[in-house]
Amino acid sequence: MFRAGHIQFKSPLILVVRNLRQRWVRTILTALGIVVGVAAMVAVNAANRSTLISINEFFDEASGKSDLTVDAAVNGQRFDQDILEDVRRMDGVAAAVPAVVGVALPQDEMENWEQQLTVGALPVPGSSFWLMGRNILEDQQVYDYSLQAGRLLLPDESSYSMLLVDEYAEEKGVELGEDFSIAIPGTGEVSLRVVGLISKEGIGVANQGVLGIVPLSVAQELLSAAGEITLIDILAEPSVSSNTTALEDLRQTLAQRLGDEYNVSYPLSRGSLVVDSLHSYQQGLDFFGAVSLFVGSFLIYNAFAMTVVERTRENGMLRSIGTTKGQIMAMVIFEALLLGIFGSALGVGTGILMAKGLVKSVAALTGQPIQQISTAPQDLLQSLLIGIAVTLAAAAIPALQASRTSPLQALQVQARSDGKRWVALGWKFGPLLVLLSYLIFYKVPMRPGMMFLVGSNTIFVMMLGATLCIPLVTGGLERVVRPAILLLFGNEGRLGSGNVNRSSGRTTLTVASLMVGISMVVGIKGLTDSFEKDMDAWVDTALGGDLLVRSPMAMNTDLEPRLRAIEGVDAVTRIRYAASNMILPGGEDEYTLFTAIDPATFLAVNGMRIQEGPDQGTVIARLAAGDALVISANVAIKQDISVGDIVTLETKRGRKGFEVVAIIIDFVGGESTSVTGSWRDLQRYFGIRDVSTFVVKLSPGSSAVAVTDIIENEVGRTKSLTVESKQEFEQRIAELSAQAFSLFDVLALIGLVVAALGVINTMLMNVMERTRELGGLRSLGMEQGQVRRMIMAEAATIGFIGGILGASFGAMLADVFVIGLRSMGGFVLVSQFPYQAMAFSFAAAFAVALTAAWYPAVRASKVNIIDAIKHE
Amino acid sequence: MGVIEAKLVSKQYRMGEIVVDALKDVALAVDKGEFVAIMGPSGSGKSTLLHLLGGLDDPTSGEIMLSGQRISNLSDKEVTIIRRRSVGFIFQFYNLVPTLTAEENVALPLLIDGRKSGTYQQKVGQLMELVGLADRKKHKPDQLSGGQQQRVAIARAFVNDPQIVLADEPTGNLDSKSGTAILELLRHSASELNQSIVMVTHDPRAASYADSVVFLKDGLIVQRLAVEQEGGDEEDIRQIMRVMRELEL
Ligand SMILES: Nc1ncnc2c1ncn2[C@@H]1O[C@H](COP(=O)(O)OP(=O)(O)O)[C@@H](O)[C@H]1O
Ligand SMILES: [Mg+2]
Repeated sequence: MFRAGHIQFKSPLILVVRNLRQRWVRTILTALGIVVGVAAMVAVNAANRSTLISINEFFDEASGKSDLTVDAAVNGQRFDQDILEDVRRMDGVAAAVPAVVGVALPQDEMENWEQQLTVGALPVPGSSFWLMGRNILEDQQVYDYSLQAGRLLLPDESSYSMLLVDEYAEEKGVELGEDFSIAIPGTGEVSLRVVGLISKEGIGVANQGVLGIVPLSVAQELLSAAGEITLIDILAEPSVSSNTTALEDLRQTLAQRLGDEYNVSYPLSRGSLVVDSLHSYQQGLDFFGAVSLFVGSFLIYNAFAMTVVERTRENGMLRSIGTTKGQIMAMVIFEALLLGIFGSALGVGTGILMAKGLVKSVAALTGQPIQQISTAPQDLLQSLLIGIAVTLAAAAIPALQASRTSPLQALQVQARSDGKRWVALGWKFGPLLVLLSYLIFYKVPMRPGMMFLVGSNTIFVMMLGATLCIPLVTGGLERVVRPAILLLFGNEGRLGSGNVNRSSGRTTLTVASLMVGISMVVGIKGLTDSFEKDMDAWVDTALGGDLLVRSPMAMNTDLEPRLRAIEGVDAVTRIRYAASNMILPGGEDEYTLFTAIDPATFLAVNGMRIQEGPDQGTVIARLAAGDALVISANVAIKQDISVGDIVTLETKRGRKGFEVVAIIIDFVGGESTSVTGSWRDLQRYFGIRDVSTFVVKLSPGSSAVAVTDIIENEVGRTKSLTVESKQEFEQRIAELSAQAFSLFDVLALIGLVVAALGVINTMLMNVMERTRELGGLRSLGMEQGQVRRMIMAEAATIGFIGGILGASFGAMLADVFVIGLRSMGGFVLVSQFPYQAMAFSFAAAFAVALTAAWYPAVRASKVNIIDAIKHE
Repeated sequence: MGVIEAKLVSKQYRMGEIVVDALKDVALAVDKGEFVAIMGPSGSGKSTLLHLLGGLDDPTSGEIMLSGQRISNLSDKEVTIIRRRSVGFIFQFYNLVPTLTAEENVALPLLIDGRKSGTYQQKVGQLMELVGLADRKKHKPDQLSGGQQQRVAIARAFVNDPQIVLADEPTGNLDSKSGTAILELLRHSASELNQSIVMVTHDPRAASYADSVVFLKDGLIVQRLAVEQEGGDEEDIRQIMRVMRELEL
């Protein structure tokens, strides 16, 4: 701004501000690039988080928010509560709340006393009422108490007050304010005042709601367990609980610290198959978050590269009047900083809106309810900073190029074409980079932790390589498409299509933004297809049976014949999961989940998907013979183990070698290492006799509901059994995966938006740069409509080339994603060639290019002839 | 000793196998306040010579001296600073920054040199007056005619009190009236302000404003002609055209 004849510019950077203001179209386009990049990142992260929240909430209902639990190695045994302090002091532990559990009998069931309470004071199968002492104040961090009537326990309460589940109180005919009498082994009959009724959710689901919650100190007194507790629920720091690797690290550290007498485990539901496998999705989404960032940075780079080309003459002049390279560079960087701050701030806002809007519309389309978007302030700040940093990084090369502008370039009437250099560069590095990144994915074995880091960086390299390859193929592809373009656009088509060959650099950038966007769509779709296919296979094999019977407490094998005897049950097999360590060739040990199956009954209920090894029957027979294992394919890949190798596990009897008889596709271990062995080996080497899960197969035509009812209410009445049906399970998985997939759709949409923006950006630059030439053509008598058609023909050619490259590169990307996720997660995905997605994307590329070129074409047609010619 | 001297300067361009001798052992000295015109057919090396004199490019052999200091084959940083403080350029296509006003364009070299804005108000004002655009200070380039833009470019070339001003066909793009104004401006600054000027031109009339005319052909200086009268003198113009014919330029 000027005041009273003063020239008010204090630094050359004012040029930058003027530039941004004056060339506002380009400013907006560049900012838009940043906005889209940052918005994509924010949207993906927010959407990602919201899926995780909904998944976690689903399981929190059953097990509270607790991430880990500590109990005695001997089921149900109590231990000194001093250990609580040790646990609380651990890094990563946000809260640790104690509970003491004992068994008791309500007064009206006392005739069965002798029959039911046989094992002293331990809460073992056979108890019917749980007396649970809890510390109500700390407890609410972990469990929800939904109070229906009365009040909760008071923080310092030491009277005989108790909370009951409303359903159970009704069943027993107890009213609020009345006393409830129970008999406790070793203590005798006690009356407790019912001060509050809670509903059967949160903590209320424990033991099917058959429990009374009393102050911790009261329970310890009644159970003659002063200073003792039964279990500790641990709430991890948010950063730990949201990250499976960190949580597993915490689990192992705790287990080591506490020693052999304690068990540190995931709460029942957390350890379940679904959560583990859905964490693979989380990583998949993270992966795309990183890719979207790349796409964003690509767009930003694009915009800045354009700026530099556009201002070659200006920069040359600045150099000729004595501007140093450093000053030129500073100007471009300053421009990037301004745009970065502005664009990133806008991008964060847009990202939140985008995530909300897109997630909502996808939810409406698929009929899947999706948790509302959640956005943590620190994530937003992080996105903002990343946005600015990426903008600066993306502007670095163009800034360098700008500073290298020769002052002579200001004097040249015609800017020299950079085409040859692009081709030379592409020829040298493009195929090399693609090949290199492909090899890294396929040939270099990596630990899962490394995989994400290396994998996402490799994707970047691959995209860069593919971009450099573009000039190599543009000419050939243009010749292929030319007849079609001529047919569509007539003679203007010839001019437009030929333009593609003129400025190699420009075309490359346009095609590249299209290619990257389109390949993201194809890659995502390909991955989704693979996931879906595998989900089906998973449900089929992992859940061979129809019903899963579990209990929060140890179950004995003698339950098996009783389950088998139930009318409608065809077969039953048992499974026990045990923790062990695999000794790796390097000497370090790796946490390993040992799944013990019963060879005698396994095949009657379940099947195995064998990837390598003999047939099912032989494998089972080999397991039955002992000292043999079957390992998951992901373990085989990770540890480079083949059939016939010996793997060493740590057992109660010391280190023990097992022969690998087959490699199977299973999903039990999620991301952790998982092996499957026989029941007899489990007993022999691990000294474990109880059962984790009974898998029940129903006879044809029998009702799952009826059998479930019998198991829960007759057989399990005294055993606290919970039954989960395969149908329920399938439905739940279907819901959760539909949710995850719908987010992939959101990502694909983002990919298309990005592509469109890239095309608008570059086409507009094209038109601006050619103002003089366009004016010349108009002065020769070209009509406005002809100019438009010419630009549209150019866009169509670019759409075709970008579509072809994007679809092929996308197919490769899908494959690479699958491989990346395969080595990261527990999934053994089989690549599905995404024909459909490729066809769709190819059409989309065409449509996107033509739509995006419309405005530039209109602008080109409106070029003022006189201005254009006078211009220089 | 001249303000600027080219000492047996040669320049070769290498394009793969082909070597183009753009300049061959050219020697040229320009004194303080001297106005030299360079003429010659297209491709004879006029622009190349000007670029070398301004330190935009380095000679293949020989040296360029500015006030006794060698400016060829220095580091980019060193030559940039010299250019910034001691050389002024005028281009055929004005090359103004479209986003800056006329007076901001004039002040640009000083700004880039890191001078405080208060210190050059007067200087810029004087130059705008000199080039006759005192009432156009706040105009953007696209609001000015070609001749006016070139006058802004001249003011810009003078703003750092350069030892030498280099102009490559400054009137090539202008009508004769605007061209004459430009030439008179250059003449004035040489005679009255003691400014040294080297100007490339195709136009004998333009060359007649100089003190002497140097003829280039195929990279060689083939003749140097002193101009007797004031600019635009018909006798001088005829003289120049005669030399051009003789040399088959
Ligand atoms: N960058 C360059 N690369 C190769 N040859 C060049 C380059 N610049 C100029 N030349 C050649 O050098 C010779 C002199 O060019 P130039 O100085 O531009 O001539 P003039 O300005 O007299 O028309 C010409 O033959 C031209 O083709
Ligand atoms: Mg020239």
